[in-house]
Amino acid sequence: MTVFIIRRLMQAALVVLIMSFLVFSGVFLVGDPTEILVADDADQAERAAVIESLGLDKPFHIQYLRFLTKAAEGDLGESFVFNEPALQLILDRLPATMELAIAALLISIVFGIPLGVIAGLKPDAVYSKFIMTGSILGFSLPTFWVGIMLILLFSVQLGWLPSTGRGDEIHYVFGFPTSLLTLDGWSHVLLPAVNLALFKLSAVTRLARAGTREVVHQDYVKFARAKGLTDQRVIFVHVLKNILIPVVTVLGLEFGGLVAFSVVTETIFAWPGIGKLLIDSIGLLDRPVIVAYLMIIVLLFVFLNLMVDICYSLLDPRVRLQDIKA
Amino acid sequence: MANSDVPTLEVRNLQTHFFTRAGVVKAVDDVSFSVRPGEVLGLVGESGSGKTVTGFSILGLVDEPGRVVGGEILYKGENIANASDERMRRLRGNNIAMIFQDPMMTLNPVLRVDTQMIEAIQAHENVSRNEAWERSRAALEQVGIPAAEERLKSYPHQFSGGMRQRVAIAIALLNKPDLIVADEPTTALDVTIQGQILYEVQKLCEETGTAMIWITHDLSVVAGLADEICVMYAGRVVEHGTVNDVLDNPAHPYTLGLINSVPSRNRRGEPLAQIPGMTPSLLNLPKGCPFKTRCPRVGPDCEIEPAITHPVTARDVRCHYPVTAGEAAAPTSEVTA
Amino acid sequence: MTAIQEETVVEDTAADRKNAAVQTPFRRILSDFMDSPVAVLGAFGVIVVIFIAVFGPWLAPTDPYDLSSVSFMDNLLAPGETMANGTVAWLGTDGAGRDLLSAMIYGLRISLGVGVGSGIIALIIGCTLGMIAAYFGGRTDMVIMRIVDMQLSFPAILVALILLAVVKGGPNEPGYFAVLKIIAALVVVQWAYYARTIRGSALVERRKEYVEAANCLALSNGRVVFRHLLPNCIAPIIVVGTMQTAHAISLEATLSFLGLGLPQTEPSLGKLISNGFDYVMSGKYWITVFPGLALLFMIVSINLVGDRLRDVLNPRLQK
Repeated sequence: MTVFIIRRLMQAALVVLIMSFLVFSGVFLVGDPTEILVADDADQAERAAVIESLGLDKPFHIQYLRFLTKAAEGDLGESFVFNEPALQLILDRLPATMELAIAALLISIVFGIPLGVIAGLKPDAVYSKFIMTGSILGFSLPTFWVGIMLILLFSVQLGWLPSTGRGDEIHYVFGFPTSLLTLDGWSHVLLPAVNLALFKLSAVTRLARAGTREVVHQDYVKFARAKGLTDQRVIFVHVLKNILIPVVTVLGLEFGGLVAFSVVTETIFAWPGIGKLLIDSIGLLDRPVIVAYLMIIVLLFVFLNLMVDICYSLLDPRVRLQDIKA
Repeated sequence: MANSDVPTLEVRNLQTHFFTRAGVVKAVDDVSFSVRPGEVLGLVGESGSGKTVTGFSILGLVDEPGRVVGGEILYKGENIANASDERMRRLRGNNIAMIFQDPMMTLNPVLRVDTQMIEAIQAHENVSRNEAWERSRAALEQVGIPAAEERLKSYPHQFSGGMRQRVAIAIALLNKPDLIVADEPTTALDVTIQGQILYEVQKLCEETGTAMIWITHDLSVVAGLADEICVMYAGRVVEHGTVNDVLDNPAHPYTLGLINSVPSRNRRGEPLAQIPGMTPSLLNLPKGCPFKTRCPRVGPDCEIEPAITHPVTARDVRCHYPVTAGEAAAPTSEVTA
Repeated sequence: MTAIQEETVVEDTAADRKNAAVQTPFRRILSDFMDSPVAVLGAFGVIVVIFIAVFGPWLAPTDPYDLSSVSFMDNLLAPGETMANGTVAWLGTDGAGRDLLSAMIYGLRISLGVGVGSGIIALIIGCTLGMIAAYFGGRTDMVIMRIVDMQLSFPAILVALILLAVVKGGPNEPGYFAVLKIIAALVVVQWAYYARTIRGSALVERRKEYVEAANCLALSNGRVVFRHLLPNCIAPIIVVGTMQTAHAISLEATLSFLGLGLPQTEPSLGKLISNGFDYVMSGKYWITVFPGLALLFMIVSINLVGDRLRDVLNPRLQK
């Protein structure tokens, strides 16, 4: 197991390095921040001063190496716009995004798995067809439009829930700010979380259904019934444990997708997370923040992949055996 | 062989149909047989003859869109064909157990063997985990699994095919059932393992007085194991009698064809007899006798579906032109060997 | 596995064989497809969408981009009110005084055009690379598939955002350039799906005897790939193609909403919705709701067709 984790960690480090190069060269090669940072009426000397202070006059490989060494020290540059360390900007806003993504993930699991199992157990029932057609609707609905409709319905027409922000009552739990400790916080997070969850909810439902349909026809399920087990035990132990393997794998990977997609939801609901920061930074060509965002996302994805692999081996004894052999 | 008045299981005119989009599939159509304590009944037929569905019907495990639509299944005199789900659940695994064909598929790959054994006991009896564990260990030893204690903590993929089938048999034996339905349990195994398992099963039946229905397509297995034999074709029983009678003097042309298509040493060099054609689709069976398209003895009466007759004593045959003892030079000696 | 399943399999093949004599595969697929009323509804929706897109300029009551006919006096009219020139704005007007129905018809053309156009380019690139990977194998395969895997491990929206962010032009950028940029971004996020799909099915097909037979006849590589392999990989490509087109349309709308997609001069449905977002708080719902419904109608229709096609074209899932 340790060998397995160390090997995965080394692979992960390689991916991060490659991505850092791609991200940096991508951002470096195109787009010119001086256009925005330097006032239009600035003279040549002022221009040069700004460029030098930001290190933009150095050749590409020097800039990249400097970026790498600084990144290793946790310094991803300073925001052109906020004049703050880019990493700090990201880290300040990360908890809000995480809170949103986790809430959305919970919604998709809590509703998606039961819906999928129900639809998978009786695929020809009317309610199953209803669930499946609903799931097509779920992944067809453009997230941003659903967000607007939620605001229109629940905030504008009914006036039940707030449409923007995170609420004022932020509490700290183990140093992490969260708004989930108060009713006001929940009322703020509910709409954005539902909005963000919708797409994943359909995905989880479909996945759980496909898994259930496959598993219920396996001999071991019939054998379990032949042993005289109750339907509950057959479904909750024999079926569920088998379908959890693919569901957990996909969910782990999809969590990264939730964080990425929060860009849209955060923009609509003015949620103060990293997604909104990214959109604002793109608008202002704030290069260090864009790079820092991408590096954090890459790290997150790599970390999630690692976690999924570990969870997978815990859930599926067959994988565990292969690792011991390997 | 124990002989009691009430058979452990009696099936009367069982009909199990599948209502598919393309039409009604009569997978089991008018099947009757009975089995007494300690007795082994061989249920023989090609793939798709309805023998597995018969087995599932007995346990109430026929999946949608299938349904038992007619007949009686009498377990010790109680008709369980339309019993409630809860009654069937209590019977399954406790009074009637089943062993499946493919040992690689019957054990849940993500649950440990002890979990799968203990749950089988606790589903029927209110016993402690420790006691159930102890009984599981004893059952594994009974079927000849060494180091049972360690093996209990393993996952199914850590066992070989033969070992897994032994585990499945041990699970079937856990609650000391009166009847075991074994659906080709040795087909997927090596010949030597098959021999060992057959021997052990036979011994267990004799010792405990458990009745057994052994479903197979392999006549040689039935010859060595069963007391009675039921030959099925296209969902119907075409011949039923004691093993020796049927194999020595088959009365139905299909039975004769099956016996003749077993390769044998005594006829080396001769072309192997075969039944021409293939099993008809159960969706559109030919009118009259379903075997007529492949039968060498087909005659004008075959346009009418044959009823059960008794051309030989103690024998049920579903044929207008049964084979008589003199005609059939069935080389049975090799089959029984 | 169990007897009854064996039986139905036997029957299926027997029935197929019987039908094959009278039915072409296309006929069979069509009749299977027709079995699902929801899918037929979806197919009907797709036909309607294509019809509107093709004949849009003749269907629209006004030309929303003819500046001489648009009057700012008409701005934010509610659905059903009459505009200054006498035309009834059935779905209301937007902030610039354009008839919303007309703007939606033009927007639908743009959305569908960008989605389908990028899809076709991605399909050609993806299939070529996927085929090359499958056919030549070895190092070529490894390099192509590593890139595919790496790209697919990041969500499409993120990849597209980054691409559009790094090549973000100034406000004076010409309109056609912005259109090309978004098509390029959509191609980049989609090609990997096609490459992976076609490689997967080509690898399966490649092991089959008919390819061996073709190789034994010393046919050229190109002929084996295009005349023998490709036709047998068509089914999964059609399924992925439908789903990806729907996805591309949705993604374009999202990017336009975020201000990184099409320019104001080429307003797709996404851009219309985005414009309407400014008016949501004041209760002027129609500017976002109606374009959104049109977008939803288009995407759902395509997805319903794709979902059914997957079931119909995939022999493993057939019951």
